Amino acid sequence: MHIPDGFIDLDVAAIFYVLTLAVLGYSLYKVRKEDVNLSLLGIVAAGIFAAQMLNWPIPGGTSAHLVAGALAGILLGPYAGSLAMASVLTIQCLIFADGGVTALGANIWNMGVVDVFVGYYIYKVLKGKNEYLASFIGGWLGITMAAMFAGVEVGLSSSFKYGITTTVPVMGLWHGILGIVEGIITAAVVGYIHTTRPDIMERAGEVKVGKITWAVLGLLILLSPLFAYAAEAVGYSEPLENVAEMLGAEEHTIYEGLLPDYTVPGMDPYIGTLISGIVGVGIVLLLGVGISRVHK
Amino acid sequence: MKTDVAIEAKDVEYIYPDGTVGISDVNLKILEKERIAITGANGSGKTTLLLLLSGLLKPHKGYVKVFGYEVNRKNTEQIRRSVGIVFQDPDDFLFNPTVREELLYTPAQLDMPYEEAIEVAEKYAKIFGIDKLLDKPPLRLSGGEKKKVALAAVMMLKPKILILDEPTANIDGKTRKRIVEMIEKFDGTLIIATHELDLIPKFANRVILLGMDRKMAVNGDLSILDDKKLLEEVGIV
Amino acid sequence: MTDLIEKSIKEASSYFQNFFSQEYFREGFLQKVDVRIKLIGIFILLLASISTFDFSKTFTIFFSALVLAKLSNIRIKLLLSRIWLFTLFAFIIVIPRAFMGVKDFYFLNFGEFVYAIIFTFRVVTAITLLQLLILTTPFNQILAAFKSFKIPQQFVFILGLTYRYIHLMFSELLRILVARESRRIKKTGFVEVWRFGGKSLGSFFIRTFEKGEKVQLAMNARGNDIKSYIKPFSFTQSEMLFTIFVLFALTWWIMI
Repeated sequence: MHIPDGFIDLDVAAIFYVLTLAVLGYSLYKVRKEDVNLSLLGIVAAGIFAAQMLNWPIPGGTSAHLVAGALAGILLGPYAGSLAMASVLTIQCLIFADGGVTALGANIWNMGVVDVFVGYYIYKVLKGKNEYLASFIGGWLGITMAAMFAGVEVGLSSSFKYGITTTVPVMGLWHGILGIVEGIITAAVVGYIHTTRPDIMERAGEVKVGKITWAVLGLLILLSPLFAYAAEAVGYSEPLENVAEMLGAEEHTIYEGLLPDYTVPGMDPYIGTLISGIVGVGIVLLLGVGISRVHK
Repeated sequence: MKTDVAIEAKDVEYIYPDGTVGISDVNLKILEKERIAITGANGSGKTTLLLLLSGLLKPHKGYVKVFGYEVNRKNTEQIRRSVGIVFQDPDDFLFNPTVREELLYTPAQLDMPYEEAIEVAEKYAKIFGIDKLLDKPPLRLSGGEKKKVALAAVMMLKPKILILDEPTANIDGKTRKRIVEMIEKFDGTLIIATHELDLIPKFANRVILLGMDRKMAVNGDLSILDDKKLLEEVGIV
Repeated sequence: MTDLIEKSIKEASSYFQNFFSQEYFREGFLQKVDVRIKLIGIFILLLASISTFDFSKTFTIFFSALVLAKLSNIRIKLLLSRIWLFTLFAFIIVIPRAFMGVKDFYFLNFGEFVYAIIFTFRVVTAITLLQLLILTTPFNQILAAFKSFKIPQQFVFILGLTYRYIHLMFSELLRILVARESRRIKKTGFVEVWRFGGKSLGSFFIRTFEKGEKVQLAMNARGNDIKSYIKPFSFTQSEMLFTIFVLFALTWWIMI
């Protein structure tokens, strides 16, 4: 899910740099104020890096990697967690060329902010009911939301010609499926630590979960397809046409994407995306309940 | 209190968060320039005792005083400036990206001017034979090299009290000889935890023996090293 | 489980190759340039390469990158081995567009085909520049540069620690997995692998936390802060030449 350089426009990149820096700045402030153990933070980040290198076999002969943003949030709390993920992603960019330099802000936003905060709050809200279910859904929804944001970023960019109504559903669906592995592993890790060293997780900064949290979470979920809708409404595709003209080609309808089937046919694309999203959430929720039964 | 007492421990007890006793009933006076070996079986609490004596852990019962300063938040800086400790596992101890930064880490915290710090660092790198490794990251060093870097990083600051946890564990003969040489040359208060009994006479004149009950069994001169029965009782041989 | 372990080792070793090759840099032009100047210069070139769809402009930057690679004794083969996968990835993603909309020749939309080529070329140019930086700069020097760029010390310290402990933590993780595998007898399915692997990861993270606590203790013993020295900056011949080179490339990029 690491976006390379050249996929997103510089203005989109700049917006996500600003958003990311704001969140990281606040996280640093919180971490400083709460006197969080910096060594622990750095070494857990190294641990997450190591965990990401594992190649989980999945049916069909391929394999999947853990992103572990939600896990970082659950283990360290959202502020320290986002800093740990930012550290991992920066190193991946500057040593391994995984993810671009201009796209680093967006990449940290997706995997180090959205994944971490969504994962953490879902876990926090649901853990009273069931520890496994809470961490499974946290891990799954965190990564799926992160992927949808990646879809928003490339979709809004005119350099990347596929429109947002294609990129968001494609990324969301693909990672919604892969995210099940992420969810299962997150649940197994959290469950194991919860039974062996519960003190570790009690230390992760206590953040109160109130109505605001729910509102923000709900908003985030609604927001990703809304972006698409708004972009279409204000005709964000304009710069795209300029590019096309420059290339001597004419831009054609944006709905004719790679996989147009992901929206419900004959329906407004926003509502279509939303419906397919909700159906997806439903399926995964059911799966989650099933898996947490198996774990018990 | 007398000025020549380096470390004093009274009724010290430390219990880990999970409830296991780290060490208890420690009463100890270590004089300045004294050279002490702490020995005992695995799990007898050697490391815990070292951490307590160095002021890194605060005892749950009793107190530890370093040069008359009791271990607490207020005195932290005073104590840290006079005590140097090297951990058993250099991977826990060396956390900087390169050997050079490793040597410069503590001087930077002490606000030592850069030129002065680099001069001392390079001098000690030469003494320890690690001057060719300065730009390497610690993770690429061998076990012996890491031990030397850790020791150099602490000894270059000339601490009044030097505390070493198993300085000769897991290293080859040549490195071991060099490290023993360096330790012998040190002229401050020395506290070493080790279970290599043959090394003790080389740099200690007092032995503290920890029993399996995590209490001090013996606190005396080197003659206890010949007491086979006692050593067997505490599980060393 | 065997699958999980073997695949992970294979991938990690190629990853760490990258990690360790940083210690064995050849001598060359970029290697001599102060990292602060190098970071800024390469970033500017990178911005120039992806802020346009004009082939000749991007080519200007690509050509400059190749010249820099040559001056820095970077083998073209090495460079290729590090960019081909990204190239393929970018191309495969955008090429379907060449088969959509109006068809100029039988089945090909020529305009879109050109777009796909230029898009890929931009990505390749950017990745080449990034690789130039990576292949000539040890990460600890980048960290030092970050410090003088006024990036918060806490964050630079976290970066340093992460970098320092990645390899150690990965070997630890492998030890845990191999130990578990060595005592397994029955064949396992996917869900079992995920679950047992997840549990291994759980015990791994507990060790990670314990390691973190020990390092914190060491940090307390050695100064308990994150101050560090910043090397004084000097503008020598290499920095001068590099700046001129970047400005020249940029002028060319604007004029063309």
